[in-house]
Amino acid sequence: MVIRDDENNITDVPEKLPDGFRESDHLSHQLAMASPFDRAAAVVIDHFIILMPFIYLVVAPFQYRMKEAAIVSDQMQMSYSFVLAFFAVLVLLFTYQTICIWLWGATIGKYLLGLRVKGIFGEKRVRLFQAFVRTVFWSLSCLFLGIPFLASFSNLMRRPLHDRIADTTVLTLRRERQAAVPSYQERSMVRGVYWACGVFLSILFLTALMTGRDYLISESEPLARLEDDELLCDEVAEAQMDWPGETATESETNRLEIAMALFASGSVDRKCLQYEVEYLTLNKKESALVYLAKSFVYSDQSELSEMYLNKVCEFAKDSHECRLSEIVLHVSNDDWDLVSTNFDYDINNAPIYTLIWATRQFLDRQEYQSAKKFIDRLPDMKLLSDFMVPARAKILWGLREVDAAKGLELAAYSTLSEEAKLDVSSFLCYEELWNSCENRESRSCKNLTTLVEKVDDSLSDLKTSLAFLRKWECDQVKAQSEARNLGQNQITLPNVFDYEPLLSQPLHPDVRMLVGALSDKKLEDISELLKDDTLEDDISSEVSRRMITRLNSVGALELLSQDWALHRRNLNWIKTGETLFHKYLQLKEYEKGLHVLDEIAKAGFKISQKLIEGGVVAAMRLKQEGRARVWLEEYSRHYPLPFLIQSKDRQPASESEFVGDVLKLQRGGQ
Amino acid sequence: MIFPLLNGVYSFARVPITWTLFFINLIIYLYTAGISEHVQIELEQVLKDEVYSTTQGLLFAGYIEDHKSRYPASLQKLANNSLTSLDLDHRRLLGTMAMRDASFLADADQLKMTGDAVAFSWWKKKFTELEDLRDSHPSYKLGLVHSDASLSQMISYQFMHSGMSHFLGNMIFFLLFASNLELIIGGLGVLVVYLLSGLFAALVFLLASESSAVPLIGASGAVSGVMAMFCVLMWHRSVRYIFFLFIPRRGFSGFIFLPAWLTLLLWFLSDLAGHWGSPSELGGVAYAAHLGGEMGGVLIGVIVLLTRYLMGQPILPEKLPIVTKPIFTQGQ
Repeated sequence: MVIRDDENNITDVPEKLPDGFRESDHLSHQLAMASPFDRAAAVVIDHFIILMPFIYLVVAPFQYRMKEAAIVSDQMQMSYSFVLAFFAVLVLLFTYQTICIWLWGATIGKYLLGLRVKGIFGEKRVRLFQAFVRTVFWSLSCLFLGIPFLASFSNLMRRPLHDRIADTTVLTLRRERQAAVPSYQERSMVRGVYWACGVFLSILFLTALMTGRDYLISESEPLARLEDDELLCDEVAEAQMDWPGETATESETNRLEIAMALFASGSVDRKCLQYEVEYLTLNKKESALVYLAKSFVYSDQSELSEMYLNKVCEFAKDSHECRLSEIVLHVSNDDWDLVSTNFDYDINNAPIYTLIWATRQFLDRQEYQSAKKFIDRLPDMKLLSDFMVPARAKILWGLREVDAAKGLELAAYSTLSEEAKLDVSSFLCYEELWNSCENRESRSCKNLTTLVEKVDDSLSDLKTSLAFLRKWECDQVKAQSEARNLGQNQITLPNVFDYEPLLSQPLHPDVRMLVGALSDKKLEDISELLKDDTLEDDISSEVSRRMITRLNSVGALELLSQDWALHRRNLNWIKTGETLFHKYLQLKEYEKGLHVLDEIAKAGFKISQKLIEGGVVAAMRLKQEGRARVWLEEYSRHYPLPFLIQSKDRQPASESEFVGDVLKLQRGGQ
Repeated sequence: MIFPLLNGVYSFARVPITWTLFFINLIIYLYTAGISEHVQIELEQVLKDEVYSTTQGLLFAGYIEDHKSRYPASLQKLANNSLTSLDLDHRRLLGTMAMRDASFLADADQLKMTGDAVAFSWWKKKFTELEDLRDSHPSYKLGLVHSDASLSQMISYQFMHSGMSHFLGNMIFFLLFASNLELIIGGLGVLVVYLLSGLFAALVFLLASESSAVPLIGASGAVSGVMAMFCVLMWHRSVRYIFFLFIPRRGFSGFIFLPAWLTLLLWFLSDLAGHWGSPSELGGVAYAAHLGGEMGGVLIGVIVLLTRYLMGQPILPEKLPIVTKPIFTQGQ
């Protein structure tokens, strides 16, 4: 039913409130004031139901422009369209409110809810200017998050700011829905909100002041380089200045070679190399080197990478790039004999990126002699030190030149980046702690502890995670020894640690799996890991070592030994063999231990001092003096005999089994 | 918030055709959902391929340069940017947009590229894979494609939906309006309105979409027609709406009787705004089809009204089975 204005019984609005008006006089108040909730409902009807389709229509062309600008990432056009859309909506709202209130004293929403806007001084209808001013301040109140509207709950006549400025009020035609004068609770609530807003705004203001101050200070420093995807890598440009053998006429090719070398050494990421090669492709410069570089860029997509490698030789069949592409294909097919042959053919003329890549490949396989061949041909460049120092240290360690490896680490440590320091420290610490915890306090292990906290995501690297785990275990051994007052270098008893705290660390997934198995304290869980063929060599040998130290059954050890014999001969294989040997000695299975030692010797690796000592002891236990002498000869070739033995005097029995056995041998030989 | 509730949805016994159409939609959706998801995953795998998308982007950029008159200034700018700079993100974006361009896809076999022969071979291989996948996608088989528009596709697309929210959104409105409409014009009438509005929507889509390779699917064109026809037939009556004004107090939510044409007006204005505000190259909702369906529904409704008027029949049955109120009463 349509409600007509002359049906209402609102009395005239007084020009001003009577003198001595008191809040308690509210019952005699003549105005049928509209409830704030009715007014809010009217706003919802107006703006979310009536006007919404029209707002969509008005905004549509600007929305179109914004979406088009978004396609081309034109921020300026997007902002411009947004501002225009905002103003268009503002004009629509202004027009709607002003016209409706001027003509009918109510918007559609107000009309439906029986609300009317009236002049406070008794005018028949609201003037146009009055309606306009009211709308302006209504919009401003919206911009201030609607806080001025709260005056509807505190003002005696329930008139917010826009009504007070425009000298209007909103009345209701429905007497049953009229609002009383605001109660004490309502006014207190509004006061509370004002205070809270004041405090919040003050904090905001102070924060903005301090941030602005910091911003001004930072702006006075040299501006940081802007990120721009169109710029090629700065690292390559810097390297070009110091690169050996560059020529001005081949600058683009030279640039790509440098980028490949830096990528192979880990100094730049894949994106850098990708942009360098895309630059040449954009300029339609096809070459064998471009296709080779692309095969590296897309090395994670084996099929695509292979297509690029096959294309390389189409360009230049007898080029170095073609040979390298064939080598890469052999690597991916695991034909390492062919890899070595091809490398030997071309090693003298190989560019730097090939030497770096080859060093890395042989390092990963722990073929340290081959890796040394390539790294020795690399020029000594500061740019590559982050790659070369850790690589050399690993090679020296792998060739059993332990002191040289440690010396290199000490000498070059200060010149390396944090990541490179972590790389070398974690490798050396892990190797030092492989079989015992006696080197727990070594320089490498101390550096590891510091660097793990400094470098982001440090434990995501497998070697670092393993070193961290081993160091943690050695720290637990020390703590337990101190608690029980036992010897510090006692062999760790299995299953005595609570590994739960380690599970909260961001370890490498394979190490986390190992820690999980260890925390379950079940041997079967650890042995299950060995069945996983996808495990990397490092973690696989670590698991083997732990299995060996935990097993006491000769039969089970024999199975492990047979499996060990089938593996590829590298440093991990030797280390596992050493552990196996010491376990056999512990179980007094001397023949089996010597068999393991013979296998290691056959592989052609330099055998460690402790291992040979053990060999002598084992042979003597088997009363095979001949065999013991062979091992003693081997020992004296590589390591100095202790003074006690050299003197050949009759000395009291020594604490060391080895020394005692050597003395027996010597007496037997006299 | 306001929503047309009318008299709710009637039972199968009272509105069998409405429910039959609903179940046809449901069955087709359930049957194609699994296949669609599986093919969609494979499609996305191909589209994620960096070399494929950047190469396609380069090819599309070259195509735009050669056919500038067909493309808006924004795309030309993007194409130029891709061909002259190392902005790989723009190339990828163009590569994705190329999948929506029917003329590019039609001419893809004749495209050539210099600079990286391997990337081009890779692109060709993946493009062929993509075409095969696309052909097996239910949306392309049953949806309406600009380059391959047949009468059967103009009907089958009306029963296809891209996801649960798409399906539910259309079916809620369909059940509400069609079940009430069936009480007025009968089941055959609803069926005719559904199919004819859908056809109309398809025609308008084909006219308005220019050269788009994205298939049209969804019952929204047909549903818009059903809703429009209901509003036209009930133009002089108020129907029930449910409203909620976001104020948790008595009196600010409930039922209200408002003119039926209000729904049509609001729906039409929203669709018009959506159509004007969306560049066609970005795909998304086919507002043109909605508008076409609404126009089709209005046209059919007006024809029915005129026919009944000319034949001297009442517009609506005397005993209207749904609750309404007249907008205008005697004396006002």
